[in-house]
Amino acid sequence: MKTPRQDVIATGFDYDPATVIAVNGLTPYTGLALGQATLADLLANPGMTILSGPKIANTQNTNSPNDLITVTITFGMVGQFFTPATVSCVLTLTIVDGP
Amino acid sequence: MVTFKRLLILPGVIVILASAAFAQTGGAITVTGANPESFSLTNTSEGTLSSTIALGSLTPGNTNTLTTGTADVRLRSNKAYKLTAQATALNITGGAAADGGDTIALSDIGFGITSITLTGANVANNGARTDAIGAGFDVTGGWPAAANGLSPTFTASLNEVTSATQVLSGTRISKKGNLATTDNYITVTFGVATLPQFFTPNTGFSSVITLTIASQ
Repeated sequence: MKTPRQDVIATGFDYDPATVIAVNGLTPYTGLALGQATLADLLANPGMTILSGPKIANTQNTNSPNDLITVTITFGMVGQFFTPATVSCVLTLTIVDGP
Repeated sequence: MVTFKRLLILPGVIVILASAAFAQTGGAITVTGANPESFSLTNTSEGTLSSTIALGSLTPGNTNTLTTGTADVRLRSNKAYKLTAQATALNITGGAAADGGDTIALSDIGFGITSITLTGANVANNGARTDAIGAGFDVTGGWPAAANGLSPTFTASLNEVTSATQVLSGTRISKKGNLATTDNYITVTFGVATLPQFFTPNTGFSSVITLTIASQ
């Protein structure tokens, strides 16, 4: 991996939903504009950049364990008396050539 | 000449194939979950309901004033609900001989809903709820008056709930939130009433009323 790194998490995505404390048993996330993005923000802004940075790998060997960065994406939710249903959402991640 | 053209083209093909082999540029994360049908019946501290209504020592007086008691229950649901009540047989301890008289019975203890609060910011259909109290169990207007020092004609007594009987029903209660939410429930106050009389002496009596909330 090329170092030093200056990867940048986009505004609104640099937080851990698991550490946000709910108040009154309701969803606590304030949304992208206030620094706590939700899936609704991704739906409203298709293809938005959530992470960017300089070249990652020193080589093109995908088997190298030290030639990568690992990104952990955390989801959080407060169980509530929502309408009964089974829900799903597919989040598509795409890495492309940076600016 | 033919051989030379092939030589020029081949390197280009190799470059494209090499690029494709490393082109893992996308992927998907699927987030799944389920919101089950949920019903909740708690006390006013959001804990398990285990309330005791102590009517005390029911010494006969010289009035027709009923001895009453109440218990508050909070209900939450994300679906239309029904609430049932079932009372156990009256358990009498230390009972004396009836000696030709009457012993207090379930029918001497009126039972019903004395009040109900249907509003809250996160209550579904807030301000427009039409929850239905089961026939006979609506004592929000008060208990029937006793006369002649005898038990009044209760519209419903514990004797009417010796089996699971629907006492309340309605549409979905909670918009969202959980048990920590302070404004997504309705409060139902259950009351009992009896008129102290010269019933057969005992040292105590009790009946356990089990309330159950479930899907309609």
